[in-house]
Amino acid sequence: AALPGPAPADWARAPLEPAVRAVLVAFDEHFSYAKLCQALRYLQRGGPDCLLVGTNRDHRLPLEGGAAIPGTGCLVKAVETAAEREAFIVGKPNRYMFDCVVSEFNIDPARTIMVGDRLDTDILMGNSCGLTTLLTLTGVTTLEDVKGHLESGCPDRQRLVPDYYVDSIADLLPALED
Amino acid sequence: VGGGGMAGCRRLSGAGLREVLGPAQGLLFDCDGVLWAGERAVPGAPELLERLRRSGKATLFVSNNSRRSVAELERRFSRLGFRGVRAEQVFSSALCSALFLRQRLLLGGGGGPGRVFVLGGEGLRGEVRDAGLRLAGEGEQGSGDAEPVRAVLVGYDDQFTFAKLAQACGYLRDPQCLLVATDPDPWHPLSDGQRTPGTGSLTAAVETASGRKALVVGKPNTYMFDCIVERFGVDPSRTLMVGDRLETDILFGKNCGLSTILTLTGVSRLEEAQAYMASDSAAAKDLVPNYYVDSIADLIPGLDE
Repeated sequence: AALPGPAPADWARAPLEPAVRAVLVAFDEHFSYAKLCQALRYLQRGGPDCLLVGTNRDHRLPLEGGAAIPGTGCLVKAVETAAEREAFIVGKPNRYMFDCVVSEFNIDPARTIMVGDRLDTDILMGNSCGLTTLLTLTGVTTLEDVKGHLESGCPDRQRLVPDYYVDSIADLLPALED
Repeated sequence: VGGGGMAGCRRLSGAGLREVLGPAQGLLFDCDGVLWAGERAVPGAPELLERLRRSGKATLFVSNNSRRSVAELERRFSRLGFRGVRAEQVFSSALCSALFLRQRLLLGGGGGPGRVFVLGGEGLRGEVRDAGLRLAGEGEQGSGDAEPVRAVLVGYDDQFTFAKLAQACGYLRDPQCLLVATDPDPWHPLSDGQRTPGTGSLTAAVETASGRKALVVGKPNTYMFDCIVERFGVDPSRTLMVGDRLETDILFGKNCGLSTILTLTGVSRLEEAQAYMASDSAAAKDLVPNYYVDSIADLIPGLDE
């Protein structure tokens, strides 16, 4: 519903929908202070009875030429900061989506490969869920990035290291041909 | 007074009041929740300031609110019944952010000051202009002719949008471009008990998108105290900080070597101060005020007739 008036004092007087029990933060190119205001009001009103959920924490969505646009993670962080609470994150690297897949398809992690281009989402989720992980280099990650994590003494960073890598997923074809 | 072990969070009244206020040369006051709440002065607050003035004690004001220019704040003081407060006594995060940027961009030398991209309202933008800096416009794309943007300033911006966030990130790809925030406040109270998001939430979005950490001008950081000292030469050991928010005002006082008084007419509850006092964490101890009062009007009996 349109918010009455141009200022936060007006927005804070707009009626809240009584049935709202969750605030879901996703990618929103029309994100605004007014929406952030409303989100905070619902979270304040509901307290722990109002869920705060974010689809993912990606910081940036890369465009061609090195540019990027802000990712959903920025909007989640704005809401979390204002509300002083942490969102439940559905997306990678959290395991919720993997749990959805497992419940639909009865897969065996030990016999499943996770293929991705991002270490801190795709590979981390795969490693956390006991999958074999395969990094493809056609996306955001370089081999130098992986080396850095591999050679750091840090266990958190080691978890970002894939089991295998390919230059492109097309490199998998020869293994499948008879 | 200041320094040393953990503050005691003692109620200030009776003889204690005179002992603390007597030696003080000056008091720094936060504004929202201390002097006024919304459009209403805290009862007795204007009289307290008047009595301080007559006692010969300096009164200065230090506010994280980056919405208003100092000129607007001066008018607000007057409108709410506070007499004789001059603009030069008022240190807002808008003013101090502009001074900070002037220091770093105009006086820092090297390659021209460039422009500042401001996420904030007209009050903040005006302070930046008054400091001699030029603003980048909204909706501009990078242009070869225009002066480069050398700083992104995040303030309270009730017109914040995804597009402005993206524009800010574009400028911040240049590692030489500063990222500055007026204050860290996550939210502010409204008069009906609801909350409105603060600069801190917008800064978090910009930091996440850009991968950079903002330089935060406002309390609890000490830059605003540096501005005060530069203009007035205040002695921290003879100055009291009075505020309503433990995480900003009281920590600011601690960081600047001031004794602190928490007033309960604003954001923080006494229980929160006591919880910090009981906490094992060293950081929590810095949030405990030396003293507290229900309202700053309670300070009046500590002053001479």
